[in-house]
Amino acid sequence: MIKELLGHLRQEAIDYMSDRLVYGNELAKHLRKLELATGRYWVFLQENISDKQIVLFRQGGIAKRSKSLQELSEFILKCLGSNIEKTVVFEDALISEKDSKVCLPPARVIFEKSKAYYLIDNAIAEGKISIIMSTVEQADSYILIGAIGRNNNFLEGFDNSILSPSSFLEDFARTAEYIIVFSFVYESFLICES
Amino acid sequence: MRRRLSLLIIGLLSFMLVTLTNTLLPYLAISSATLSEHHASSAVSSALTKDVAQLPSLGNDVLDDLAWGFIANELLKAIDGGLPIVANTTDVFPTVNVLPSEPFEASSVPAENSVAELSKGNDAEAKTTSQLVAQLPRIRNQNRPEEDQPDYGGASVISEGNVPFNPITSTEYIIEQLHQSVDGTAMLIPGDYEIPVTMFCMNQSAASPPGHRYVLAPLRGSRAPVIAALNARAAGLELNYQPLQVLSWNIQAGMAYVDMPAASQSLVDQLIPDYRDQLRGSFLEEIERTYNGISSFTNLPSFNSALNQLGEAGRLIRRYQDFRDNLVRYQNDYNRLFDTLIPSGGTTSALGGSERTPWSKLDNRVYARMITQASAGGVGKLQIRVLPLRLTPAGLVSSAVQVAVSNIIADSENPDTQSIGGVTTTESESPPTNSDEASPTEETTDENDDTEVPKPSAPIPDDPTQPPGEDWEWRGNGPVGSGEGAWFNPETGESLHPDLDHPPPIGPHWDYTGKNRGKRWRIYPDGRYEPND
Repeated sequence: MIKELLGHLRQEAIDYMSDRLVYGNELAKHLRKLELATGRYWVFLQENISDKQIVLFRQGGIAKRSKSLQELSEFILKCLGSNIEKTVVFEDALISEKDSKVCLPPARVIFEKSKAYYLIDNAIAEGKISIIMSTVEQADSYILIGAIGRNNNFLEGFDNSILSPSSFLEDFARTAEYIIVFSFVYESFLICES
Repeated sequence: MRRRLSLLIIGLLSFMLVTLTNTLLPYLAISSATLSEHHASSAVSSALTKDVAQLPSLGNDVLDDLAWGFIANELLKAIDGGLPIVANTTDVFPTVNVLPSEPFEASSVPAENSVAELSKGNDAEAKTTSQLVAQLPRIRNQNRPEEDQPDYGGASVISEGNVPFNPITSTEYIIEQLHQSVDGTAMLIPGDYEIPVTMFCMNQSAASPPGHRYVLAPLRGSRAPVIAALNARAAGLELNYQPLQVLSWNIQAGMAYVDMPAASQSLVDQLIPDYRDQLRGSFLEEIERTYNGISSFTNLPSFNSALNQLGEAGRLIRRYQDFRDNLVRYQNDYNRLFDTLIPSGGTTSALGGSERTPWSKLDNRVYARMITQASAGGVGKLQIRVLPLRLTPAGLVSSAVQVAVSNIIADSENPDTQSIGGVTTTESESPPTNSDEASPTEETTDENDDTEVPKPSAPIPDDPTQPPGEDWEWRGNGPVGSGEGAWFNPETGESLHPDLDHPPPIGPHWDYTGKNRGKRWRIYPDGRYEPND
C-alpha cells in the first residue's frame, strides 16, 4: 500500500529526501532546485507500521523490498500511461561509461559525465511492469534517485535531439512531477509529489 | 607515372587551348619571375609542367586546382585500395523485419548430421563433429541476393515470423570450425543458432552506446582477412579483452607488426603468426610512398605539408595519422586509448535500439543479426537461421551451408557510433533481457537462486577504505569507505556497500550485489548471509 506522510512525518521525509539528493549526480543536482518543502510525500508499506518506524528511513527491517518494488513499478507504469511525453529517469550511481561488461537494463541509456541515466517512456515500457522493475533493480545501489516528468525534447530519439544529455537532464528535472528515492535501506521507496 | 602526368597535362592543355584560347593565351607566356612568387599550390603546376618537356609552365590557378585534384584522386585511389578496415559501409546485407522460415525437411537431413548431434560438446564427440563437418559437402553461396532491398524501417515490427527462433546455444561445434577456418566461416546445417560474441570496436573514433541497433555487412578492407582470422582464432579462448582490442585497433590503423606494442606482437605470434607477412607494411607508409612516387620527379611540398591541399584525401590521411599517433603514444594502455578513441555521450539509436534489429540476409539460405544491450567490450548475440535446401527432383544435394561468422561486421550505420566485430565466446550475453523473456536457465543461476549462498569474487575487507580486490573501484560521492558509495567491480558488476554503522536489529553489515548486478544480500561480520529481497 502507499501511505501519505503528514505532519511531522512529512517533515522527516523532506529532510531525508533533501539529504539523499545531495549525494546524487546530475539529475539530483537539478532536482534539488525544486521546492521540496511544498510537496506531498508518500511511502510504500506493506502493513500498518507505527509512525515511529516510518521515519526511520535509513534503517532496514521495516518493509518487504520485492513487494515495494512491485508497487513502485505499477505506480510508474500508471504515471507513464499513454502519454508519450511522460518519462521516468533513474540515475545509476555505480555504472561508468567504461563499464562495458556490466549489465544494463532494458531502458534507453544516456551518459552524462560518464554516469549512466536510464530513461523509460511508454514506448519502451510497452505496458510491461518487468521493464520498470528490472530498471529500478539495476539503478538501485547505495542510493536511488529517480523522477517522473515530461520529455519535451527527445520525442524523436536521441540522435535527433538538439539537446545534450546535460541539457536534457536539466530540462527534464524542471518538469518533474514525482521524485523517487529509496527508503529503509533498499526495502521501499519514498516519493515526493511536487 | 611520368607518362600519366604528361598525358594529363597534354590533355588539359589541349582542352584549354581549344575551348578557352582567347582567355588563356596571356597566361601561356607567364614568366619565371611570376612563378617564383607562387606558393605551394602554384609550385605543383609548375613542377608538373616542368616535368613534361617542351610544355610551357603555367602559373594559372585553374591548372593548379586540376593538378592538386589529380594528386588527390591518385591518393584517394590508393587509400580506397589500402584502407585497412571499412567500418561503415553502404554495402550492408539486405535486411528483412520478419524472419523467413520454411518447414524443415527433417527427413531429408541424415540423423547423424542433426544440429543436436553436431552441437554435442565433450572431447570424444568433438572428434566426431570434426569428421562430420569434414564430410559435409562444401556448398558455397556468396552471391548477394538481389531481389530484396534493404529495409531500414525503424518503426516496423521485428518478428520471428511463423516459426519461432529456437536456437541451439552450444558453441563448441562452431568454435572448433572457426579455429580451422581460413576465412572466418563455419559450415552450418539448417537450424537456428545463437552465438555469444564479445564485441570489439571497429572504428578509429566513435562512441559505443549500449543497445545500439546494428545491421550486418561483409567485413571489407585490406586487413579484413587479418581481423577475420584473429576473431576466428580467438573464439572460445576467453582471452583478456583489453589487449585483444588494442591489437585489433593496431590492425585497423594499418600499423606494421614491428611498430605494434609488444603485447600486440605477442598476440599476433600466438594467434595469427601466418598473417605476419600481411602486417609487414604500414598503411600510412604505403600512402606516403604513393605520394612520394608522384613527387619524386617534381618539387612538390613534403607529404605532411601537402595534406592541407589534398581535400578529402588529406583529411582521411590526417585521421589515420591521429589514430596511429594515439596508438603509439598509449601503447598497451587500454584505458587511455578508450578515453581517446571512444568519445563519451553516445546514446542508443534513434531507430529504436537493439530491440528493433532486423534480420540481415547473408545468403539465400542464411539470415542473421547481432543483438545486444551492451556496448563494445560487452557480449552480444549473433543469431543465425539457416534454411533448409529445397528438395529437387534429383533429391537433396546438401544440407549444410558456409556461414560467415567472423568475417562480417555489425555496422552501426552511423560513423559516430562504433561498428562491431565479434569474437565468439562461451560467456552469455552481458545484460539480461527483461524478465518476461528470461529463460529457465537464467532463472536458476546462482545469483537468482535464493537458496544459493553468494560468492563474492573477493573477500570482504576488514577495513572499508581498502578495496576487496584489485579489480574493485570505489564509486560514489562520499569519502572512500563511507556509506555514500560502494566498492564496485566493473569486470563482474558486483558491488559491496559498507553499512557498518547500521543500528540494531539489523546491525553492521555489508550490502552485496551479485554478479551482473543480480541478487542483493546482507553479509554480516560473523559471516552470515541474508537475502535482501
